[in-house]
Amino acid sequence: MTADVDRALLVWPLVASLVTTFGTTGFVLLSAGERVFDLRAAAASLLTLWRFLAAVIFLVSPLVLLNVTADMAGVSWISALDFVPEVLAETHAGRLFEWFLPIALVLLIGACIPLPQFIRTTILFLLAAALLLLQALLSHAIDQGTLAVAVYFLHEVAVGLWVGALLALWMVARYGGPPDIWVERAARRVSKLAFWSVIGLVITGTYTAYNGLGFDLYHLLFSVYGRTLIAKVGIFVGVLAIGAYNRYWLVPKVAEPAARNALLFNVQIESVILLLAVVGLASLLANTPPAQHKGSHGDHSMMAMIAADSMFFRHARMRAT
Amino acid sequence: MNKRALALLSGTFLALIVGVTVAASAHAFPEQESPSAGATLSEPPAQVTIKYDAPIEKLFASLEVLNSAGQNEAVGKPEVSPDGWKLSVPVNKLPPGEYTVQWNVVCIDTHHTQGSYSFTVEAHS
Repeated sequence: MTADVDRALLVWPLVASLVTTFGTTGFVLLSAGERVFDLRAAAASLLTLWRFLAAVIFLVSPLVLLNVTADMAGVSWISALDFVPEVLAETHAGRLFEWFLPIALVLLIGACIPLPQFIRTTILFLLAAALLLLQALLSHAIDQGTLAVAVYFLHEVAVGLWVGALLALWMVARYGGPPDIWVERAARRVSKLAFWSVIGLVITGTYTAYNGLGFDLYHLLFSVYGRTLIAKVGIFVGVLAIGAYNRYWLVPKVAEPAARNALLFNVQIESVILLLAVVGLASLLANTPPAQHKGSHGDHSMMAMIAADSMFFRHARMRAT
Repeated sequence: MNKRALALLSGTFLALIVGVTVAASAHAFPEQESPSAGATLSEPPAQVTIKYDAPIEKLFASLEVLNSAGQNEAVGKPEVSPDGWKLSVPVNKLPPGEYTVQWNVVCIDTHHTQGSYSFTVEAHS
């Protein structure tokens, strides 16, 4: 297993938990004005999920730091423990983790201690947003400047709002016992939110692909980054097809029990695919060398060899010889 | 969804599939070297410098200038410029011969790259 895959396997649950916490809390806050169903009841039906996600974030974050340290120092996880203080004090990633870890702890505390639901929901939303921003600052985007980081952050926000709205709709409808009218209104709200989130995802995703691949079919087809992107976009299109069916077929008929049940089932499937497949592949993308780089001048032996095994770079070296 | 929104969605999605370009990269790769890769110099360099296309971490940066016997001719530890883009190290007065520059850096995105290149110092006539 390569270092990239190692990192992606750790980052996946972390990012999935962050975007889900951000999105579900955001959806509950957006629904706060809804009179037919109390926000407290909606928040209460999501509380167990939030506690679980906060625990995942809190437990996985130090492991990601250890993995990052081991990769940077080129040592095992055990040996990396000795480097952690230096990494925290002297590197960009370390300084971010000095913020990330305490915020993850506060998030866990906020999810677990007794608090009024509105205050808890707001705190979790803000802390998840802060952690997503730090995550964006830790990504490849940091190499490309502030705009790239902002775009990456907006990409995370868009996917969070989409997944969160879907998951919150399904969980509140399933466990919160809201009246049918709430499900109808919430379904329409989720549909609108999902539409704008998809627009945001496509725009920000295009920009990120723009940075990572270049106008080169070879990069797209033969680099790990390009192939992972193709897989991610393929699954995304599948989820989009389910979403379009929901939006144009089921949502207009959501007052009918059969359509409502079918909608809730589809929403559940969509959110699971998004979290497992799309966020998983996105984590792999975030830890795979983008195919486009300026490389060397003059001497082919200067072609850098990524420590992590990459099909593209193997190919590039073969081409160079 | 109106036709305009559909066109916007289709257009941006097509762009995503096809891919468009910008001169940027992730991970740190050499953008410029001094002496440059493959160069033949009439005078030995006082130092070796590599400019990267992304900022690097000082903590894990290494730069060695090896002679044909494999001995490191660098003097002291390599320095990273304050902005993080350049790695340089002073070298001994190099006698004529071929030298291999070996670098090993960690980009601020935490990913590790390494590589090498050669240059030659010519004998004085």
